[in-house]
Amino acid sequence: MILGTILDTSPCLGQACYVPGLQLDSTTQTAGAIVMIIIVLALAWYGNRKWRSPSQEMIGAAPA
Amino acid sequence: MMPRKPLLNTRQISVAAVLGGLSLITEAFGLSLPGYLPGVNFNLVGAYLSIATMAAGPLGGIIVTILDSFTSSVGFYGLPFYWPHVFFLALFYKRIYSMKSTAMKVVGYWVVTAVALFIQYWGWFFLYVYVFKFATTIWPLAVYNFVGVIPYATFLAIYALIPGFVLVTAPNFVRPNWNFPYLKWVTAASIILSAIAVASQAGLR
Repeated sequence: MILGTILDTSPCLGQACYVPGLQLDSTTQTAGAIVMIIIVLALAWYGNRKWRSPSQEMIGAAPA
Repeated sequence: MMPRKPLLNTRQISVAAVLGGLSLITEAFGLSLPGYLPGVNFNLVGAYLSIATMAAGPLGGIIVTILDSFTSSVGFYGLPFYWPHVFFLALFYKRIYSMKSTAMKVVGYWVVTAVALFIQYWGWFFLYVYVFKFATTIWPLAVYNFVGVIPYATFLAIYALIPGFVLVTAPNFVRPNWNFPYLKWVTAASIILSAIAVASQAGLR
């Protein structure tokens, strides 16, 4: 039933599905996309510093 | 008795969840590059799912696609059509990561992504014909994407540029210390299922 509900309501081609009424112009969309990419790069940079060796890959593991 | 190894460790689950959450937010606010198809933009999920697959294996990529689908403009219909790409990338990623030369790593990553994207595309053609009725067969979409070049090249850049940059500049973040059982067979099965689906809409009869 849950899947059926999702399939009935999900496709909302050409608009942001979960922010009703939000219509960004193409410049704002592109700028927002660039901001998200910068966030991803920051996350990767942070993770790269945090997990320098396989032994440190568990969250909360003390650095060697 | 051998101790059971979890499919994902805490770090991998965290990375997949964060990237999936970012993807969900990106789609919810429509932060994408306009101009792909009527009502469909060049979305960024490819960058998120690629990095998640690199860092956490196929399950990481799949987690991203599930979270993304909650707010994607094609909804959950698109969910399984990302997976051939996820599996294909995962199948070759460890070999790419272990290459000594940075240049070879980058070339290898782009080549595998280009092939994975090409494979993935056909499943989406099925979706656009069978569900969304953008055309009566897959061929106009194939010509638009592959002969027209720009749509394919744009998506290739989304799938390869940022993840490739992360591979080179943040290798600890995307170290592939994950395992996925029967990856070769699962990859083959996902490609065959996709091929069957797209053949049904190829207008060959």
